Amino acid sequence: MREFGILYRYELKKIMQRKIVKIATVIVFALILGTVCAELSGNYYVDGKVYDTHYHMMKTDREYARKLNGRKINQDLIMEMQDAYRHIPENEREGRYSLTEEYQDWARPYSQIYQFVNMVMEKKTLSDLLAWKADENELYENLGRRIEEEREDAFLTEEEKAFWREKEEQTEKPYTFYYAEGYWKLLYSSYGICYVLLLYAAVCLADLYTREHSLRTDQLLLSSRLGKRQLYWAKALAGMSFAGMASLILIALVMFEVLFIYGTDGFQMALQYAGAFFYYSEPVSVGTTVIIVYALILAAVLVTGAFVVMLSELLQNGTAVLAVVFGMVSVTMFFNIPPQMRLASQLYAYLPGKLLSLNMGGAFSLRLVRVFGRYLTTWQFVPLLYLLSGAAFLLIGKWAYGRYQVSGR
Amino acid sequence: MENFGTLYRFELKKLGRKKMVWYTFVILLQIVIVMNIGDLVFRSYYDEFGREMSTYEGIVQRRDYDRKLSGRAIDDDFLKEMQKAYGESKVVAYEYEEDKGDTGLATIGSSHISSVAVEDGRSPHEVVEDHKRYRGIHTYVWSVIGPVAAQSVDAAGFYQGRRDLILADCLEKQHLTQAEQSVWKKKEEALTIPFVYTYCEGISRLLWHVNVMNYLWIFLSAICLSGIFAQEYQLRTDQLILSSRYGMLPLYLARICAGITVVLGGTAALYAAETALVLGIYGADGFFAALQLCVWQSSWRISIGGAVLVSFLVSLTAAVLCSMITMFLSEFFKNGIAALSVMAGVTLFTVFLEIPARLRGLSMLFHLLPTKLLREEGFTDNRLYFIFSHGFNGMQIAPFLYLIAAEIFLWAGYRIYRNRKN
Repeated sequence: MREFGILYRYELKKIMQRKIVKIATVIVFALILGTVCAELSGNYYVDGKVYDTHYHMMKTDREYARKLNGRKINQDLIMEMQDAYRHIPENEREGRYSLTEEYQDWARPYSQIYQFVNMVMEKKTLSDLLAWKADENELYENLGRRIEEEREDAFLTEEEKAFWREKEEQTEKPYTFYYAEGYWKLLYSSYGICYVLLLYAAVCLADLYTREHSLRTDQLLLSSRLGKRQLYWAKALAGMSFAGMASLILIALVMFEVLFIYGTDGFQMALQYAGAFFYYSEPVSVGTTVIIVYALILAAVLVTGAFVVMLSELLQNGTAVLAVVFGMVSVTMFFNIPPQMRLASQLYAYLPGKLLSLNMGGAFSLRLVRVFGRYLTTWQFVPLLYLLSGAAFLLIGKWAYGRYQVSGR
Repeated sequence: MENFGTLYRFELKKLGRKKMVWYTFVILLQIVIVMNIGDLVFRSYYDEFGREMSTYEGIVQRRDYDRKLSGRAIDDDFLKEMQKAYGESKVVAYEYEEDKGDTGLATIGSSHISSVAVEDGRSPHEVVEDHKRYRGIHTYVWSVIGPVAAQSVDAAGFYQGRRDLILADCLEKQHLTQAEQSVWKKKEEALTIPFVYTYCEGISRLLWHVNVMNYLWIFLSAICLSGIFAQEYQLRTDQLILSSRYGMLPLYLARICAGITVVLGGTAALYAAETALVLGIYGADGFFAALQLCVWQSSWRISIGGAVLVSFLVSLTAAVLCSMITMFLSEFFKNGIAALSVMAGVTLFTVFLEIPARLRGLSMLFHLLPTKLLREEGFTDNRLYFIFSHGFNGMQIAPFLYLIAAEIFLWAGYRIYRNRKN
C-alpha cells in the first residue's frame, strides 16, 4: 500500500505537469471568472447615448429590492406595486416605459414584485396588469393552477402528483420577498459552468491511460513484479481527484466573486419565487438550491472523470475519448427527448450536461424515482446514480486494463 | 511537384481507413436523421378537437391548408379574412364526448385551445376549421407584430410595424451608423410589397437548421483531422519523412488537400441527407418565396431558396477554413487532443459568448465566425464591412475572408512543419 501513495503522488504530478492541462486550467479559470459577472461591465445605451452603467443599474436595483426585504407578497404589496406603476403615463405604458421619469421615481423600486406578479398572472401588457383588480387569493390560486398544468405537461403519475401536492401544502404562502440576486446569478450561471468543467475534465484525463500505449511504456509496466492493479487505481484516483479539486477551487472562486459583487443576502428566499422554478413545490430556499446545484456539478465532474478513465482504456485513443465526450456534451446541449417518452426522457435528464439545465427536464424535474418504497426527487437520486455509475465505469476500466496485452507491434 | 498525386491518394486512403472518421460520419448522419424525423416518430400531435394523430399527419394537414393560401398577397383583404377567422378571443372549454361527434371541443390543458369565438354565430366546428384554414398567415403575422396587433392591423400598419421593429432592433442591438441606416432604408424600399404568402415550411427548415449543421461539420473536421499531423510525432515517422529526398512540401500539401477533401465531402453528404429528409417530409414549396416569409427581420432582396444556397456555399468555405485551422493546430501542438480541445472548446464557447454590439469592431469580427454568421441572424445583421467605400454584409464578405484566412493558416502551418527539428 505504501507504493500506492507514491504512485498516486507521481500520477498527480504527471497530470499537473502536462502542458495541455496547465493551459486548459488557465483558460477555464480565466474564462469563467472573467465572464460570470461580465454583464455588469460597460454602459447601457438608449438610442445610441449612454444612459447609465450596468454596474450602477445593478446597485440601484439592489438598493430598491433590499428595502422590500422581509415583506410578504400579499394584497398590500401587490396594490402598492400597482399604485406605483400607475404613475407611468398611459400613453407610455405600451412602449419603453422603463425610460420614463415616472418609472424611475415610482415604479422601479417595485420592479421585482411586478415581475413576479406578471409571471403568475400572465398579462400581455402593463395596461392589462394595471386593469386587473389586485387580489392576493387570485394570484396564488392562479399560481396553483399553473403548477397543476405543469404537472400535466410533465406526464406525471397520480402518485407523483399526490407527492407534489403534499409538498405544495408545506410551502409558506404568501411568499416573503428577499433580495437574492447573488444566488439567482449563481443558479443561472451553473449551466454554462458545468459544461465548461465537464469538457475540462475530459481534456485533462483523456490521455491518462492512452499515453502508456502511445509512448510504449505499457510493455514496461506489464513486466513489473508489483503488478498493475495499484497503478490503475492510483491513476484513476489521481485523475478524478485532480478534476474534482480543480472544480471545487473554481466553484469556490465563482461563489466568492458573485456574492462579493451582488451581496450575500437572500439565502432564505423561496426558490419558487423565480419564473424558472415556480412549478417546483419543494419548500427549499434559493441558497440551499445553490449548494445542491454546485454539489451536483462536482458529482457530474467526478462521474465524467470516471467515464473518461473507462473510455480511455477501452478505446486506447485519446482523441476518440475526447470526441465521444464532446459529442455527448453537444448532443445534450441541442437535443431533447419528448416528455411523452417517459423513461427515455427521464434517463436523458440524468446525463451530466442535461441535469444542470435547471428546468423541467433537469435537476428540478417533477419526475420522481421510487427507491425502496420511497420517492426521491431528481437531485436526491442522481448522486446515488452517479456513485453507482462511477464505480461501474471504474470497474469496467479496470477489467479492460487488466486484460490488455501488448501485441502486433 | 514530385509524386503529389500519389501522396494525395495515399493520404486520402489513410484517412479513409481510420475507423474514427467513419464512426464520426455515421454518428453525425444519425444526428441529422433524428433531428428531422425524431419528432415524427416520437411525438404525437393533438388537433383542436383533442384527437390524437401522428406528427406526420399533423404536418400534412397543416401543409394542405397552407398550400391553399399560397400565392395570395398579404394585403388588407387577406388580413381582414384572417382576423375574421380568428375573431375575438374568449376562452371556452367543452367536455369532449364521442357521441357528440365534432360539435364538442376537448380540453387538454388550457394551452391547446386558447380561443373560440362564439359571439358571431359560428359553431365551434366552423371556428376550428377557420383557424386551421388561416393558421399559416396568422402565425406569420403574429410572429412579426405580436398577438394583440395581429387582430386589428391593416396591411399598411403591418408593413410599417415590421419596419419600425427592425429599425428599433437595428438601433438598439446593432448600433448602426448613419451610413448603414441609409443603406438599410434603400434595401427596404427595394423590397416587393405586399409580400406574397407561400407555404415554405420545408425550405425554411433548411435555413433554420444551418445553425445545427454548422456544429456537425465543425466536429467532423475537428475529430477527423486533429491527429493528421500529430500522429507523425506519436508514431515516430517524422524522422523518416525528414530524411526524404523529395522534401516536405508535396507531402504537406497532399495532406492538406486530403483533409479538406474528406471534410468537404462529409459536409456535402450531411447537407444532402438533411435536404432529402426535410424536403421529403415538408415539400419543396417556397424555393422562390421572399426571404421575409421565413426571416421577417431580414431586408435582403433574395428568395428563401437563394438564402439556403448562399448559406450552403458559405458553409463550404467555412469548412475549408475549419479544416485548415484544425490541421494547423495539429502541427502546432503536435498533439491531437490539444488540437481537438481547442477546436471543440472554441466552438462550444461561441455558443455561450456574446460580444456587446457597442464594442463594434470586436463584435463585427466575432460575428464573422461560422457559428455566429451561419444562422438566421446572418441575414438580419445590417452592419456593413466597408472596403473601398463599398459596404458588404457578413454573408457577402465571409467567404473571401475565410479563404484568405485558410491560406494564411496554410503557409503558417508549412513554416512550422518545415522548420521543426527531430
